[in-house]
Amino acid sequence: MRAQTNMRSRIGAAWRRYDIALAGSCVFGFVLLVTILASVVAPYDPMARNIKNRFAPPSPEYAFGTDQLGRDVFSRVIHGGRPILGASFTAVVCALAAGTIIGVAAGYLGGWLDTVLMRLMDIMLSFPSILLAILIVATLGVGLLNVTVAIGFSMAPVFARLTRSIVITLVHEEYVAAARSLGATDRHIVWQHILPNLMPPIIVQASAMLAVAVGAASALNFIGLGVEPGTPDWGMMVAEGQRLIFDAPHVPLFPGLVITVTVLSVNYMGDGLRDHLDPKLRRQGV
Amino acid sequence: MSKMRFFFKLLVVLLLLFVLGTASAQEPQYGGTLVFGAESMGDSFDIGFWHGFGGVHVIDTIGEGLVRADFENGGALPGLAESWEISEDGLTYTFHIRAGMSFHDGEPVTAGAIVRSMTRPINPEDPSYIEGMYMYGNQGTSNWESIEATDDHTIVLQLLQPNATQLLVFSRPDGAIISPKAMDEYGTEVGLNMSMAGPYKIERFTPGQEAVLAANENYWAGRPYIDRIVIRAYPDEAGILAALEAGEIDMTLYAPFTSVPRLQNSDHIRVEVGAPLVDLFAGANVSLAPLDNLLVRQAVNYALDRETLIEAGLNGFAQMPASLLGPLDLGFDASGSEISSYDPERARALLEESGLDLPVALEVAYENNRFWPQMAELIAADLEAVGFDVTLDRLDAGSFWGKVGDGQTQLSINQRSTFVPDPHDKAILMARAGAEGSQTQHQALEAAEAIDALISAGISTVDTMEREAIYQELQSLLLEQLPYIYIGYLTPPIFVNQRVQNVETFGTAGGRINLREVWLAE
Repeated sequence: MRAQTNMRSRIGAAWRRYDIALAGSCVFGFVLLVTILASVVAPYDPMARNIKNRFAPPSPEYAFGTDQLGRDVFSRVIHGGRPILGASFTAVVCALAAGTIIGVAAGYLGGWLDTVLMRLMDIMLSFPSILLAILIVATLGVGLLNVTVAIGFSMAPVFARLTRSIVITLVHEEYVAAARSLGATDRHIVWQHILPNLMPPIIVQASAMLAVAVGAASALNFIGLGVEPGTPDWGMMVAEGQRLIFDAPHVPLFPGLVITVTVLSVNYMGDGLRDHLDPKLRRQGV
Repeated sequence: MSKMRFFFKLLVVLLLLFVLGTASAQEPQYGGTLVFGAESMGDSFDIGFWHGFGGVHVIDTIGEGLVRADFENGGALPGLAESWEISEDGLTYTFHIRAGMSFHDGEPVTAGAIVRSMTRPINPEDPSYIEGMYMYGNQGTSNWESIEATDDHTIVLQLLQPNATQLLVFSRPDGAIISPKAMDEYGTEVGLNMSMAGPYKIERFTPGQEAVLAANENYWAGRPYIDRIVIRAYPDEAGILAALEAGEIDMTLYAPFTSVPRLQNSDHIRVEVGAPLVDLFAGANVSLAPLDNLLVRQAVNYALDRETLIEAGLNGFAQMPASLLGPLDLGFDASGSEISSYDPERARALLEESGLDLPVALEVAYENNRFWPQMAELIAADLEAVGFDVTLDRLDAGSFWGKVGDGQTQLSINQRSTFVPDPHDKAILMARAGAEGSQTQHQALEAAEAIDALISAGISTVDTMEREAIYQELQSLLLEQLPYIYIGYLTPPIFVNQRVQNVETFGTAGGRINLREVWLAE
């Protein structure tokens, strides 16, 4: 009984402290779950056309109405998260991996390698990330894989810069100096002492970048650089529906709304994660 | 009895008022400003180059050629030339130029001035000459033996070979006559300072945005009704639609077709239906696999559910197709509609008969604007249903035509507007074989020589009956070889504010707006 009360009070305290972050996590978790289970959850085949039932408004039969080809918008929205969320997660993971490797190499080894890598990163950062992504897709060709590569590529410098700045501080820590004096190899130091201390801020950064990636993937699919036309995808659905904004607003509205909610929820989740993982903020009870 | 008489008199008075009211409502009025919403606005109006449809609309409103096109009945109407004679052998054209006309800059329109403008593309000495003015290629200058102004009101044009379309091409935007004063004064920049002899003149031009045109008080056919016409570019269809509904624009061809049902119920907007002057089709690149195989092209042809394409892709604004020529073209053969029909079973059988491994990979290219994305999606679904594996290639207009011109597309869907009411205007698509820009690369066909011969005969034959027979043979041959697979004849909605009267729906439907007789009700 006491344990139950304790648990309840702890949950209550956590909720009071991270209310928006938890709400964001719940919403994002729900979006993620629905996207993963899209084939089970969606009431209709997202590609099934019914020309005679075009532009049907939202109703109990079609919760979000039907689009210009009579397809169920609700089912398409449910399936539409797969390309965007898939591309965003993959891009962030790749950017995190590449950026961390570059940042650790530059920060730990220093010297000319640091100078060269960081100037390269500076050049990449000087381009607006969406423009850089468009340039990359224009070079590699249209397709979701190339969109993923482009987003990952444009985000890698952010992780590299952050990693380097942390690594530079970490290499001067006493425990690193102690490990070195005990004869530890560079690999050991990096794996055992640098990376574990690097992870919290990198994870916080990754959560922030995930929101950016969702926005970027939506934008690139919106302008037709990602998925093929007709594919259920939030960005593509907004693009296809934008000309219908006055005649059948439900067609672009719902996928647009889902993009907004998803980006917001990821942002709030990231904020909470930062608050929780940052010891200074935690101490201040922010 | 007296009551009856009173009511009778009242009825007569009311009827008279109604008739008078109706009559006055029909009476054209002068004045007002009409704003036309365009899909683009170029950076110049130099007629030697293409500046998008916005540019064409401006040139058609300010310009005048020797003749004007009669899109409704075919043939030519008097323009700067009030009459003309063509010799029996079709080689000598004598134009009689009206007296008393002037260009917008006040310069008199004389035969000499007209010849100067007409020879601009072939006279490198002219200060306004620019190398590569490709649009003038439509004027047929390479077939001109000589052209001269024999006096101030007579022009004699001597051709090397008869050209059945020669007269009508003078009505094209690239046939509009430019003032010699403007050509001298502005040289190669004349496109930014265009002075012509049409019903409106340029008052202000903001490149890429809008052109403000004022009524030409000295127009030969009399001052046009409207004081001022603004042709303004909008970045997308939704923007045009919003402006139309807000009353910001009075007329456009570029609002989404999907809005028509709603706009038809609007109290201030009217939707008029244009004539079927625009062909919609899929061009098959016959030099590349798998469309080098006739059976595959036939499979594509029978796979298309055109009724659904027209209903869902074009909101019903098209007629079922028959062949390369449209129902208003000379020599149109309606029997082609049997071939341009939907038969998925036959399509599947043809694809199997082709011997290719199923599914057959096929790339469909299209422009990323207007109704094309939706059409492409529907076409892809139809093709996949019979055994194709379709990849959609969505391109901006420039990339689309670049890829088509390089012969890199497989199936590419697009349209052919009618700039001149003559069958050659459509047949010229095939005449481009072997030249840059050929959509179907039809020189790879065994029947290429026969097609080329028919196209040459169509243009060099002057007799109308003979031309009709030639174009019917050409249509049959093209339906047999199917370098083009026909989708429909577009009957585009023309969106107008209720105050806009007397809209011409023929040339306008073909992309040539004609605002000469349009007026605005109060």
